[in-house]
Amino acid sequence: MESIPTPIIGITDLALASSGISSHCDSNRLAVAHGDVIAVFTDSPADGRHLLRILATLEPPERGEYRFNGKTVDLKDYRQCLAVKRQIGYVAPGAAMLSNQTLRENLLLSRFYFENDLTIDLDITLDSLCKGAGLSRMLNRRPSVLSDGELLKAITVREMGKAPAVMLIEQPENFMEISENDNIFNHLKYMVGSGTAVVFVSHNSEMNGFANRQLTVAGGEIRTTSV
Amino acid sequence: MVNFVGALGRKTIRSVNRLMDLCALTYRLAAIAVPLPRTGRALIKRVIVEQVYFTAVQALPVIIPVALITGSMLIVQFSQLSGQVDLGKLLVVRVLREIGPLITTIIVILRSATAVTIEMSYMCVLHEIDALEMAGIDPLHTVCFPRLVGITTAIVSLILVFDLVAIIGGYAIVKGTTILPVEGFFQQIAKGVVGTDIAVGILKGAFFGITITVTCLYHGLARKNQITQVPVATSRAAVDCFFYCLVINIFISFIFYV
Repeated sequence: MESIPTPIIGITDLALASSGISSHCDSNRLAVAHGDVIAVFTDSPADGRHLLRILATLEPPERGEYRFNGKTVDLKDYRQCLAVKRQIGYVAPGAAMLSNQTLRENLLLSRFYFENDLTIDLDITLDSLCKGAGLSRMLNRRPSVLSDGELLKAITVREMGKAPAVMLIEQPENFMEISENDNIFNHLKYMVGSGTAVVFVSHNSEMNGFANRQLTVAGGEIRTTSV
Repeated sequence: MVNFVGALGRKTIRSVNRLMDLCALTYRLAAIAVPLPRTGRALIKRVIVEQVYFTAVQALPVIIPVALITGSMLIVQFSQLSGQVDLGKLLVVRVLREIGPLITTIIVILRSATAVTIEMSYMCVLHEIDALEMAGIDPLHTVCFPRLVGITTAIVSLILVFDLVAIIGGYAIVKGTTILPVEGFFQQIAKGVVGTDIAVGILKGAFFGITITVTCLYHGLARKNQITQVPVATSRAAVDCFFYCLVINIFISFIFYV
């Protein structure tokens, strides 16, 4: 008998309550597995954002047990969440960069911390992503000088540089072109090809067409369907 | 009457809770230091050096003139009593034991404590703390702990600078600009200073540094949703820092001198 692979994120008995209405999962468990590309559709934009923040362990759900790679995570203990967060890329208008560091330092922060290496050379992936996103000439400037679109691109590059197991993206059409010409989109596709799961909220039909599953939060229900 | 007692009780419980939270935060930060984790050590050291630079080095242009003015003012006043009291001993008692640590602390509260509270508050409101956590980095390690070490080191250093500048600089100013009788000043100081005076100054500096940092971090990192909550937190942090430092000052003085 073939065993079912453990999903990257699994939330059992999930209930959300962001827009005043409590929504419950129709199945016993909401799962995000390797290679999943999930488009989220919600009645209100707040629900989509709330769901992404729950998946990123930034907010607890109204109810539900969060598991990452099969291990239960106590979302009230922020220290337990740190190791999980490190494996999740989160790109949303609410995401930020450290304003007292340059863009380069922001991109290298993980290396500074985890490798005790304060050298400021970008690795090949980050360097090519920055070039592709047109951020190379801004690397030594503070995030405050970037436009909203550039800032989201920079955050995307930073999160992709983490080589996360899951990418959570809100409104990707606001900062990347959904076409073969966009380096960030191409890298996202490459990541999906190598097993990274992507969960996104988008109003762009081309981006939604990229999904292989749909997650709908409507009428007090959370439903997942394969495309 | 019942309402008054109820309000008093609630306020007391809130104050005790806040004190317990401050103690818990101090404990958590102290626990990071023993032993200092290998992960992130280079980054932590860099942030400590930056904090010492902001709090100590950049405060020197403020501390030195204040120390000169205070020192010369005290020498001028006490020299009027020349012959009746020991000028050097009086200065040591006033400057090393009380005025040095307190004025230095007030300057640090005005300059750095408010800055740290605002910085922490903005980091919360603008989701920069979330950004650190999303990188898997514990904000207590990279944001709070370096500030604790940096500000405490800076206050102790600034107190020593204040004491030296107030005594030596104050003497030089009075000697150079007045005809007041200040002969034998340094001999009197040498007789007046005991190791305890210097130790108490350093001890007060260390306690003030810890208190100021923890109070500012506590108010700065408290949950906020709006920018308008930042000035309220800053004001509360500054007042709390000042009050706690006064209490600690009296407490330490009582232990050593009563």
